[in-house]
Amino acid sequence: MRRNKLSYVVKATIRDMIVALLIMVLLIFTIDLFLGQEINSVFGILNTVAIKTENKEVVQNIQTTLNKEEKKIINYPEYGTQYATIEISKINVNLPVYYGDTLEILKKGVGHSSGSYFPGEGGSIIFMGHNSKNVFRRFSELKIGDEIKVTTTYGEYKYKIYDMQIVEEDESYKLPIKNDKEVLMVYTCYPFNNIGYTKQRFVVYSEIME
Amino acid sequence: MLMKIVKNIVKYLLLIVLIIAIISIILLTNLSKTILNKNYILENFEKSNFYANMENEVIENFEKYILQSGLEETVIENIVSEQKIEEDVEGIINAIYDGTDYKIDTTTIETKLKENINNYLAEYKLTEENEKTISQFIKTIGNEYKILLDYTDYTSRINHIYNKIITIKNVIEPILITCIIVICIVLLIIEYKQIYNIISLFGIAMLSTGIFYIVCTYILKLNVKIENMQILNDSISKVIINIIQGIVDKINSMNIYIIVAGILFIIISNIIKSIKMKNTEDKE
Repeated sequence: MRRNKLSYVVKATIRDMIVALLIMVLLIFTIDLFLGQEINSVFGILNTVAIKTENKEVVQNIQTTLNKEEKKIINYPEYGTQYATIEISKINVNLPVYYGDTLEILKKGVGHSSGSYFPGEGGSIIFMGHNSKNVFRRFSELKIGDEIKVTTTYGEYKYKIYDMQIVEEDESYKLPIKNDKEVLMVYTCYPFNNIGYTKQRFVVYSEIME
Repeated sequence: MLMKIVKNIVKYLLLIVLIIAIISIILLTNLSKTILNKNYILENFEKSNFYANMENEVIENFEKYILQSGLEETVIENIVSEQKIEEDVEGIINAIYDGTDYKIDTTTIETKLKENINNYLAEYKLTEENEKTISQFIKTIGNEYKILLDYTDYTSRINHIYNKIITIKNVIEPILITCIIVICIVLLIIEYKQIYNIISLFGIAMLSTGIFYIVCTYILKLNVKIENMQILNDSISKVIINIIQGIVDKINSMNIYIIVAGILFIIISNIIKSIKMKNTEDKE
């Protein structure tokens, strides 16, 4: 008798739970039918502000390498990421180099102009940094013959300074992008202790050491 | 027989309306306690360490201008404090929720900055052009602070949306409560001879509501990476993420009680039903 009662209660409870589940399914189906598009639009808007990290991680795992025979980079670093360090021991500079030249990058260290070649590719490379105390304030102390070392994730490159010039900001032809010789051009704002916006650049020209 | 079928159809239709009403009331209640509650928002700002993070964010943005100006970073030291940010943020939140007018005052920031620049340039002989540039620089820093904190357009827009939501909520809430009461009365009338059926219906309604919210929060988490949201800046993003997670967590914890209560109601009503059935069999 007791067993019958228990079995009835269990069966009735399961039945009622299934009814609850069916009503819920019907409700969700109805909402999807009438408001499905609007809900997808809301998810779309939310996803524009919710960055998915999976893609970022995949990209960061790909190593930048150099094909030495063809002098070509395989897997260029992602824009905005650090791929090298620059050392100028004469003026105690040891800074990270980021691919790109945005304000955000220049706040963190040295930028690499995205229109120029990479170390090891045999072409013109352009780096830039602010003339602040922690970056290139001491550029005025550099002399012809001083060395610059760039250590990348795929190798180490040494350059020797052969020229230094003050150029106007619109004289971009004085920083030519060529592929016949590996030249590293590093520039900063000039005068070094100017207040306000500077219209000149102090450029250091260096060539690769064999 | 036909009466019984009609009675069951009416019963289940009322049940669906009841479920919708309960789902809506729960949502409105949660929103009222969280995102529509000024104190909850301010508490989240505290919990997320927003003011200290925002202070760092503000200084980092000022540094953008410093690097180009040729001035040392020391001139922007101590021009903004966590207290100032807290004061301004509370003013903005009050403007959003209470509709008050609040304008960020950057006088203290600009005065301190000017003092720092004057100290730094004490040995320099400044030209008129230098003075002009410095003045422009100070104004730019003041403006940058306002933009970072206020996003002026957003404050008035959010206040407008908030007022609309409150108006709608104040209309819908009484309607939903009336609806629930009316449905309860109608169900009592329909099932006055078998009250345990009403208990069972409430149990089904609560269970459906609980499962509905579990499915909804699952779909939300599947489609949107809430923890990766980036809105305006890192500090504000952290607060918004905490608020959304807080709402989802509140609903999830409420769900557990709703589901357990629903299952208990169903079990109790079925136990009562089985006892009644046994008594009826015994009498026969």
